[in-house]
Amino acid sequence: MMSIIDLNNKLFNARFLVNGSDIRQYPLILGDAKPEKSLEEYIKNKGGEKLHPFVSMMTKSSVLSIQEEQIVITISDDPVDGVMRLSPAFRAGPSAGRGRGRGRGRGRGRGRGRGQTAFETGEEALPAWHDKRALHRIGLSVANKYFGAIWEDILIDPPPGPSESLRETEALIDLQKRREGDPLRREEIVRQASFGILDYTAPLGIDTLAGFEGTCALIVAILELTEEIGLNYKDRFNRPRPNIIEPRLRPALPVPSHASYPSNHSFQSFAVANVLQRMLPEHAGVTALYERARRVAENREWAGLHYASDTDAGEELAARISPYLVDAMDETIRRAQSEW
Amino acid sequence: MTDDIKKGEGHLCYDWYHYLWHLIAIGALRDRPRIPEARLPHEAAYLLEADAWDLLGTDKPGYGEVIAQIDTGVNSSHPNLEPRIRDAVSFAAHPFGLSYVTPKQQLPVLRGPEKKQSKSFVGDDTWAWAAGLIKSRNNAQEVEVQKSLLRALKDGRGVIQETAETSRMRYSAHGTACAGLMVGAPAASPAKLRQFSNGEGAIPYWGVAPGAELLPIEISARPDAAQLILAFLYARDQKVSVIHFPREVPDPWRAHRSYSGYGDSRYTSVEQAKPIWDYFEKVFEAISEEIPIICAAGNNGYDHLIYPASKAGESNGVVAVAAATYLARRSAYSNYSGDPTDNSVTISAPSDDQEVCTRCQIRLDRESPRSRDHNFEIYEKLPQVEYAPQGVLTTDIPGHHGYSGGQLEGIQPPHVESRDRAGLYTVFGGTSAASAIVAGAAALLQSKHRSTGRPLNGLEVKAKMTQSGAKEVSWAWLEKADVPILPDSPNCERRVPSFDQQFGAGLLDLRKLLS
Repeated sequence: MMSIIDLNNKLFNARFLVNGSDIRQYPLILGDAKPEKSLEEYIKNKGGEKLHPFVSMMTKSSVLSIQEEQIVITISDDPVDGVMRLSPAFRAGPSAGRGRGRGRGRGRGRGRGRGQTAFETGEEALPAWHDKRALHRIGLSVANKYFGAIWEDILIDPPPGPSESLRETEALIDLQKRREGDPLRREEIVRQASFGILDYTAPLGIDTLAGFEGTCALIVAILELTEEIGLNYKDRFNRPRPNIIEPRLRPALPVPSHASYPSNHSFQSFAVANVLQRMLPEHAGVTALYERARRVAENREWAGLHYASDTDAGEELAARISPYLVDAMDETIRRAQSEW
Repeated sequence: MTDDIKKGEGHLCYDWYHYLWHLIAIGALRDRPRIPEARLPHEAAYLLEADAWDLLGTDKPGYGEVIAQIDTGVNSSHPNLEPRIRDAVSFAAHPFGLSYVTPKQQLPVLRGPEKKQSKSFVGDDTWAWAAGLIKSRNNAQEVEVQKSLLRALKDGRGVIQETAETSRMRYSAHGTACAGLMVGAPAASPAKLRQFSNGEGAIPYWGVAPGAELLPIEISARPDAAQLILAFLYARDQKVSVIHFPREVPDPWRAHRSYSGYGDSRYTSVEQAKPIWDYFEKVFEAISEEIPIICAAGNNGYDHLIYPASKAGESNGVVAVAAATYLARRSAYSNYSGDPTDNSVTISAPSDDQEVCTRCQIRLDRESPRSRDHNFEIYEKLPQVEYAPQGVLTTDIPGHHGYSGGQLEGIQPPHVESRDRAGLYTVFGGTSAASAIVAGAAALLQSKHRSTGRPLNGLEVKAKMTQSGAKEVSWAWLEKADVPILPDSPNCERRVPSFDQQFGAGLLDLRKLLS
């Protein structure tokens, strides 16, 4: 039987460090006799330096050597593999962060829409909000880029904690049961998945849009702007959809790939209501606009796509962002107003 | 503009940390005393020697013990695992069990159909024991359902399979990562170890019980109580020392605290499915009294544990493990008990962390470039908890598969099982990692008692565990000694949950456990 001294001899070789998914050995520069001095020397020389890429030299199928501080050379008989290349995956190292099996992490969804063949409005419209935002930030100072615009930094409450989220799904299960016995509601949910302009103009008493082209354009513009704003907040909070944490939910509609909080249907509908009541404060139908917005938003809960708190957050965000929307859309609102 | 790189500003300025920090944290290893004038940054300064391990007086801590792992299976070809992984059995791929036998040499032709086993995977003793758990004073119809299930399982014959290896060897990353934390050990002799080049081959890696063996028992996520019953009976029949079970059981009546089964499906039929789930629970608890079952508390951040870790509050041998970070905080995802009178968390162990942005807590990775995507400072009034980017390093499927693809991803042909070091290891975490560390510790405890008499039963192991936690830690990488481990309020509790609710006995202290 080996003794504990053998174990300690082996432990002498436990000289590795981890950073992300990178593993490096720290060498004994001055030999084995004085390991502490070697380490001191190593830190002195290496401290603060950036890492050198690991590199490889390979033949057809086996790696010959990988050393630090070299350039990658791949040698292969295969004409495709033989091309010398330094792929991004190679430079960034192995994929990290999946090591928990805990579902999707933060930052997913960037670059979604890739592989999309056509840009379509409605349910699955996923504008490249991140790229558009980056475009608007070109030339700004670093601080201004970081702090962002006012409309990005409206202080709504972040989503509830995980236990409360789970409790919220109980109500969604009940709605799902009621949905099964209510074909009219199901039909309405499917219809409202894409925004119909008439959903918003009907409470104001106009079921045909002739003579209201400016109002129609305003509603479309609000929906477009708020969709991007909403995606920005969704990305910030990155709350998983209810059917992720409660698999017994069977959403009645395809589940969008962006995050849950806040509900964009709620946010966008209430934003329309907020701007229109600003434009037409005397109109008797403006309260009905809010009721309609609430109906659209709650139907997303019936569909199993949103928690009640997503709906509420969308409603709050819509109210708080409306001054900025009105500011930005001054011209469009005035044009629409002249039709009434 | 300067391009100074500063910490905390989204520049990927992560610190290097020692790859065995979790073993140092639980006291298996310690930093060798050093020359006083050589003050070095902690992350590079470790020269290790055995700490609690030397209480066992052996080069192979845990030798002679077997940990049954009921999970995804394990890649048994990994150089840090290879000699200590027993032949795997799958109850996921066959209703009565499928035994993988690694062929001694690769034959050029297919071997034809699977070989049928001549007898059940589970021995007669255990079948008789299992039949005794069915109480006939219960509802007659339920008893009949349970009895007929047990008859079917007992009469069923599994198969031996030696042809297809891809599923077991390439898609068992979770089990392979847990296995490394339990039974990983260096592959080569001390003389050879010094010759490792910087990018290739295995590193000298240790699990908590590097001398122990691992018995992989594969199960699937299918909501089927029968495969779980068979898996646990098999583990009992094999007389293992410890069972590691880092999974949730999808019992429709118990998996969620809130409400009973829903939906019209045979999976959730009250007449057919419920008696079987009830019986699984009985088997699970009865086995835990004989053999400790180490469960993960779950990674949801809930104020209740996943099932069946939630059973740990009762009198049985179920040990529920919560996770703590490199900075001695609760890992953001680690479930805990919301009820101060229920002690369902048994003990805690080191693991990684997760970002949080809820109205209850802000815990963000300030080094990530993503932290500059949004201005999170507007939430400075919400409770802030420091995020720990460090995870625990462990074994991964070699090559492209598994959690890490390796440095040569995109260069090497996919059929090559490389010795590329980056593909051999992964940074892992979750309460799975924490529970694997505790399962390794339980194996060490069993070997200590086996050498002086008999191994402990599940109840005794759990009792030892509850006396082996630390409430304060003195980790060299923290700024001071005796840092208290602080609970937090991830679900907006007005009163911060108690230490016991979130960490149980505290952070696993191997010296306390083994002395």
